[in-house]
Amino acid sequence: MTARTARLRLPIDARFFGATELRLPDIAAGLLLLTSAALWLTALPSIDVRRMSDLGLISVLPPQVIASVILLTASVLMLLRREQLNAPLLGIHLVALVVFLYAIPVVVEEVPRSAVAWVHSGFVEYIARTGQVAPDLEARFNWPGFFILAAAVTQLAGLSSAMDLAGWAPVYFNLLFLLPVAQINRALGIDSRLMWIGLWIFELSNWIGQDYFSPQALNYFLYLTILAVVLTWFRVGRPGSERVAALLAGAKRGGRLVARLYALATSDDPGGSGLSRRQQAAVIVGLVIVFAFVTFSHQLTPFFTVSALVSLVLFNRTVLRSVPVLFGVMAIAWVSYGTVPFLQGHVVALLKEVGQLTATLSENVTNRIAGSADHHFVVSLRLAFTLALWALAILGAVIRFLDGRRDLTVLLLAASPIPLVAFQAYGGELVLRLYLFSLPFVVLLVAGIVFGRPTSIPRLATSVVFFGAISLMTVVFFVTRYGNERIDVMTSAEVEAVRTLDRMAPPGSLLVAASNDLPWKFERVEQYSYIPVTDEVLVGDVGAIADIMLNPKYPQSFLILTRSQGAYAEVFTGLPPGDWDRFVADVTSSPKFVRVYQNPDAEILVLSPAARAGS
Amino acid sequence: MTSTVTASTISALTSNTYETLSTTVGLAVVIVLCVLLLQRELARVFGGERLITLIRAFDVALLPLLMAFLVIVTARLAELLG
Amino acid sequence: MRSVGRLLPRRTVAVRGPGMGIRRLEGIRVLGAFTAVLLISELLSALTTAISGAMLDAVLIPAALAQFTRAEAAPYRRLLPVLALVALIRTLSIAAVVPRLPQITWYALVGIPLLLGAALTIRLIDEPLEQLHLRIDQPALDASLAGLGVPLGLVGFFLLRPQPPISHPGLLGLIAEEVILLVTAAFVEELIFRGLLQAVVIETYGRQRLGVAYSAGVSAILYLGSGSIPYTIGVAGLGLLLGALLLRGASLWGVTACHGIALVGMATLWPALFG
Repeated sequence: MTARTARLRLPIDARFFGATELRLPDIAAGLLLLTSAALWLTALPSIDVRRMSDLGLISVLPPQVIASVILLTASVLMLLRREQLNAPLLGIHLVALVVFLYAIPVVVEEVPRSAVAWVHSGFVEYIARTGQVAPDLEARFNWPGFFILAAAVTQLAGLSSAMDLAGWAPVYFNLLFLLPVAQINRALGIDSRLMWIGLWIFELSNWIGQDYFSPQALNYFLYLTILAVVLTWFRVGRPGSERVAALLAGAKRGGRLVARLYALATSDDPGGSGLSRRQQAAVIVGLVIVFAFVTFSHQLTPFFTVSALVSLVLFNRTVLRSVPVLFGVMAIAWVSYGTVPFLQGHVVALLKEVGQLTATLSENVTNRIAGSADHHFVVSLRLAFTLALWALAILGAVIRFLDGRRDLTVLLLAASPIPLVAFQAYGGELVLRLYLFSLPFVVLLVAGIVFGRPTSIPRLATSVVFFGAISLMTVVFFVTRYGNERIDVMTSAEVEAVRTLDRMAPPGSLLVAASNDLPWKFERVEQYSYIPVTDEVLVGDVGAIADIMLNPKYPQSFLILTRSQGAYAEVFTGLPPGDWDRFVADVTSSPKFVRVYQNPDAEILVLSPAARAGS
Repeated sequence: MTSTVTASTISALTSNTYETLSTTVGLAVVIVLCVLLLQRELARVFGGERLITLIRAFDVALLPLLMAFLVIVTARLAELLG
Repeated sequence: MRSVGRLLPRRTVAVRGPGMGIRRLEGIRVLGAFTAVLLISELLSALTTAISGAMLDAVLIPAALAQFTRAEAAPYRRLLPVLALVALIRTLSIAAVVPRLPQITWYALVGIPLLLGAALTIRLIDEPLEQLHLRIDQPALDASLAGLGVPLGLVGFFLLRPQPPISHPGLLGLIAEEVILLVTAAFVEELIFRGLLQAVVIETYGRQRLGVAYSAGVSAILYLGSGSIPYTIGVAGLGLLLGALLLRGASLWGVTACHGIALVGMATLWPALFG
């Protein structure tokens, strides 16, 4: 059944919506959109993040939020059943989806989330204040591009701190990601319906959470942009050679099979647009400049980019033969020359990881299944969802192949991050990044199970089943994406405590915390030394913490304990419920410590005179 | 004894740290390599019928310099290892 | 040279490109400019540090290749990649070397990329292999040249007193050393200077004497860093001799054998005999 085509005469100019006249489905979709927005907005005030369990945000999420996303999905699927797609309306739905999925923490949480975002803000503050980077201070300063850019933007915009940019980061980054992904789809001649639903699934599958205020978020956007440019303007229209094909077919043994494989490996990508020579040259130079920024602002993205471009060159999908080599030289040269302080401390460990597939997979997968029982469930669900998505992608690739579609470029780009697993565990995060870098292409194949088939509009029954699957994916998204939210949420009281600590502590002091999960290091990061004492907290060894703080190297030492650190201890390290409070009570009642500051979410302690005298 | 290993090159190689050598000549090699690779790519854009000749021209220096680049990077890593 | 010329017949050398005329001047200016920069870089290497010379040469490489791509109709065009290859020698002699490895490996680390570069240059300028004198037409002459390497090596040893690349080589080390010196030092140099540079200059300007003199001169310039003016002059003279004999029937193998045996003597035999 196709969409109804009843027309309405409206007082407003319907051409704004890209259609010559508004049709009933457009109006229905608009109403659904407004209803879902109303549901979402009215649900937010009832979210109390302080009541979150180790399952994260889902434990306090009103069902109306999930219902709002499901309604939005229904609206989109209805729009996709139209003969003529209403691109602006679909675009508005996509923007709404991004807001519904990623803006919740911005609205309901007191301060920007994620301890690491606060640290990044501190790096930006350092650069804005001193005009320098400090690679000896912190490894991430060896790739300072993002922080320098953020410092410039902060100053130009007259913002008080980079945290003003950080809060909405997941929203604007996820909106940005959509642009190059859409362009990649268009460049590859992907069916419009498939493209839209692919973008939809992309957002619902992005549980990785690397879109916070960070170098990797910006560089992921640049990676996608580079691919979009290469695929739009520098694609080889006909990768195969008729001469080679004829030669292979004429071979005596297995010629026909080899010829078929060759035809598959060199299948054409439809579409493509041309540039003049000068424009091509300008774009190539632009790509080099963008990649230069990528090289000096993130450790991994340059290598994912090179891997993607190499795969395109190897299968003759792009005319840019020298660019991957150039990018590889730039990336390796930066690591060799620009990150010496980092390499000096890490080169042995880095080289040991090369070729250690089992260890990498263990660090990235099995070792992550740790912590509290609820956290186990969240991690296991993430793994299961990832595997399911990849399995569906393989199914989608097979279905599209049987439909006569040759998605070699999509398959290449989906698979291109895989070789990097052989080189680094990246602190247990490489497989997550592999998932993220292959995601735009994987979701296309998943969506291809239903959309982009020869009969472009799926049957109603298929759409209904698909709708059910997306609805389930929505629920899974909120578990997988926000499963760590109890750790990631920060409170204004915690921020106030850290500000107080910064005022109290003279430069050169040692600041000790139970873990790195608190909003610290966002001001004058270079003036203090920081030690997380996670192991000592786990065993409740108050004396050991005092001994660390007695180090005569530091004029003074402070211990800060916050609600977020307690959450971390329970969720990630599996500290039994109640043990954190007992630990805090032990510390505050210990004769070795004196409390100097307290608020509902944090306390600051120093060594007692007796403890100092006994040293 | 030869034009490739002369007294002046021996002196430069033995009296300077590898850090100095790699951040001067080594870095020059990296820059020249990048310039040649970019020129090679732009030759493809503007080359037309002469494309193969142009690409071969840059390969004359590119491939030897790529080999040198690999040596430089490996040697720098080795220096860091101790 | 005349008396040698009477003994040995003059080899016919194909002359390519336009002959005399207004363009020849343009080509000579380019040649002169390049040679001047090369001389400056080698003087910098000899008088200050080879690092500065290598960096200056590194700039010459893309410049020469860029000019090759631009000057399509220029008569001197085929010379440019060869000149880039010459500039590559000094750059690689610092950049491609790992100082902490034994000195003998330095020859290989520089020579192998140069050999690759030379092969690519031959392919680029479509130089016929006959012009490289790879065929042995007069084995007796080649054998004589090889024998000449012995006294030349002795003279070179006393002029330069070089440090042996390997101080106490075993048998395997000795063999490896000689192979490295023969292939990556002697053969590579003769291929570049006598094989390529001399031939292309002759083809471009139609003058054999210019080709012989220029290639001998350029190779001598690259020996300025040896630290011995007599040695450098000797290299220039040897270059003239070998270049001329190449045009009179010697093969590249013969001149390589001469050069290689001289090097082997300087590196191994004469230090062992004379300390």
